[in-house]
Amino acid sequence: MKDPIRFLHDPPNSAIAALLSAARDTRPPDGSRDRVLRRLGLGTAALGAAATATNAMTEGTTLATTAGLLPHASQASAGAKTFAAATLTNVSQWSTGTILKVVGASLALGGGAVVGVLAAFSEPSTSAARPSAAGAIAAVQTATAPNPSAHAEVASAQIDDERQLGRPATSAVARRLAPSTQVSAGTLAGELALLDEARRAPPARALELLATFRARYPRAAMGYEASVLRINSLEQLGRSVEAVEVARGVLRSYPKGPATPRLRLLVGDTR
Amino acid sequence: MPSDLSSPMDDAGVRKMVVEHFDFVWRFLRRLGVGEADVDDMAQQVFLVLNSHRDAPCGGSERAYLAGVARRIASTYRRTQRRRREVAGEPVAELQDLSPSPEELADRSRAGVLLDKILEAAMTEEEREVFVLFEIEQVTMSEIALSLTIPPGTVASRLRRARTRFEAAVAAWRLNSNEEAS
Repeated sequence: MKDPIRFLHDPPNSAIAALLSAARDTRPPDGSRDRVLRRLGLGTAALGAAATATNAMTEGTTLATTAGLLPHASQASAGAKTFAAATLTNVSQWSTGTILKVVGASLALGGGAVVGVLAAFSEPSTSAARPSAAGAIAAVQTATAPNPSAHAEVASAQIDDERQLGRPATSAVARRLAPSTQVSAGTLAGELALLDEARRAPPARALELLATFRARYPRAAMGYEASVLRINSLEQLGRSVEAVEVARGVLRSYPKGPATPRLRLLVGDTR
Repeated sequence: MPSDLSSPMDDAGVRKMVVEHFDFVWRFLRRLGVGEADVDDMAQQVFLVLNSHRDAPCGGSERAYLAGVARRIASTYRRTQRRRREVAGEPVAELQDLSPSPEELADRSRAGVLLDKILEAAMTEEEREVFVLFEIEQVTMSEIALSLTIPPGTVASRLRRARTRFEAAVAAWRLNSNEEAS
């Protein structure tokens, strides 16, 4: 098939030349490509990420303080530093929004970095793009003593956070941590530790760990995240039929979950 | 997809694809009508699909594979936007909404906006895909056939129609702006 001469090379008139030439010169804004690389866990801009983390921590502190969740600025600062130390190695993979959620929520609780992990799980996945739950839990342990109404506060922080970001406060995480939800800190930490292990494991081992997770926590707070991890592992093993089947189930149970767009693509739903 | 199609792509392969083709994907989405505020997210979706289908066959052309994914994502996006506009009762944009003079086309951002209006008003979605790939992205007709999974003859006929409509729309716009100027 012989291609005709392009308008750009032999334009019928100057207007067409100007229009097509302008289109050809269009470029994405600076940083767009790097954001995609980071999202895929392929970014290398460690220094840039550190700066982003610092900015996000400042924003997170402001957010939590503004929301009246932190009595003392020094407490916020200490929490931020602890959390930063625990997670800076992974932070380059997060979007600013995720970092803001993580830091804002962790500061609100003093030990609420656990919620940071929850928020980060809402991002579609690559293994490198996830923060370390172990690091987050370490931050919990070194931060101030847990508040008895911690879960309710974190849920409020998350909801406020989402409202400030212009999104409806309906995320699975916020709902899951609403005051009516009864999940002990110990159970949640156990769930997170197991999920973190599964996330870092090769796919076959991850599936074993996720089966353990299901048996150990039949009413898990992190059930959604576990299912998404299971789908990822099945995909990685080439078991796409099973992955699609699980994805359909997840979409039925959580039609508005954070991974919904990706799961819809997986099951071939292009609505 | 990697040149060596027998093995799944590794991280370096995905990274190379993003580095080499991000601008192409971004621009293609933009010219297919994805709004400026959304195009970064949609481009990201394209590469997330690539990343989650590392071992999917692409028929030998990386750019064609990405274009195929991008046009599906853009098509879904446009459908959603249309539905939103219908629900909100917003009027459809008209070509006459924007009438820069030919001199003003030197302002490239305005030229881009005008081009989008013409593409939107003058041709069908299918013609637009072929036109943008061929005339702006300089993709060959055989690559376009591969990417859109349509026969080469269909590519040729869509391109022919799109070029005719595009020329007519630009001529109408020039006539309109000349009349306004006089």
